[in-house]
Amino acid sequence: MKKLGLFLIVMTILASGCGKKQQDPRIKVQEGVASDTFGSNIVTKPVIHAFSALVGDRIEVTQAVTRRNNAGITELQVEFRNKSFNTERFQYKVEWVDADGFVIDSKTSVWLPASVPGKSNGTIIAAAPSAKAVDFRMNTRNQE
Amino acid sequence: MKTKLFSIILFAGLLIAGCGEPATTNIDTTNDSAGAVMSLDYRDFDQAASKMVQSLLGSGRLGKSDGSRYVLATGRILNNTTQRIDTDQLMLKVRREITNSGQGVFSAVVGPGSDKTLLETRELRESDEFDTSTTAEKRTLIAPELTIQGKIHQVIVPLARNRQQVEYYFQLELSEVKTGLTYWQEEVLVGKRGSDKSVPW
Repeated sequence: MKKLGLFLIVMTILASGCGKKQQDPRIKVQEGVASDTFGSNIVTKPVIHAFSALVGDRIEVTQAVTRRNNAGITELQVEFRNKSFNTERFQYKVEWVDADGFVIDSKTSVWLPASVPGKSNGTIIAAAPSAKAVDFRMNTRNQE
Repeated sequence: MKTKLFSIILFAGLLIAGCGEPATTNIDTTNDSAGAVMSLDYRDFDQAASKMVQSLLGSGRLGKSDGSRYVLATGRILNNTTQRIDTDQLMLKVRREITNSGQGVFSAVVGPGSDKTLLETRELRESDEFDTSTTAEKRTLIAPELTIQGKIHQVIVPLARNRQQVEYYFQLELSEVKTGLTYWQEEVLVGKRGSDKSVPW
């Protein structure tokens, strides 16, 4: 009997996770819409979710890029990935620094909310308060 | 005896700990972690102004090819909410950031918040009491090239189980005086859900 249970689990894992083509990483098809994976399959989901929570999967910044627009203002784009299965809500604050390393005093540097669904990518876009900004610092905190 | 003594100590402890007025504290406005409120508070205005300014500066619409600054005039900011809002709570931040960005300056003589003293002071040129070299000549004021105006709008949606949803829309638009064309507009939504007993005003 135990063998049968184990066999069913292995078969489900194989059926849900194997032999699938890598999807376009720009497109996220959420659970309930996409075909089952380890994380969404009814049998394996509790185990996978519990393991993810146990290891503390959360937000991971994947890339931060800047550019200057035609008005000389630096724009920032931060891309991040939510590694957990739950929607992660947090706040972020961007401070801009001038060529001398001084933080530019600005009312735009306030805590702003952000959120991203489970196992999805998110983007934060910010603009510098003046053309004097050459670099940035970003901080995050838990959504209260 | 022991029970009585214990009761007295417990009662005294409760009196000391629980019956005083809540202590007054200053808000740490830089890192305020208090919960949300149904009405608009300073954090909502900070958030809306920050998003508006970042959208405007990021759009590049205020960049002049010769590097000079635009002259702007602030139009009316309508308050279509049930709250008594001083719309300068939003516009002062926006004006400050545009001015500090070095891409725009605001006319102090045009618009609903114009500086009456400035115009009065210019009239001093007619007075024999003042040194004419220190008074402003005629036709020296600079007319605005762009106007900025907007609205704060509120929608209340009743929800089940004595709850409500309140949506606050902050809307701004930037238009060119010469052509009448709107160059930039933005809307920031601040939404709240809570008890319908919390009246948002």
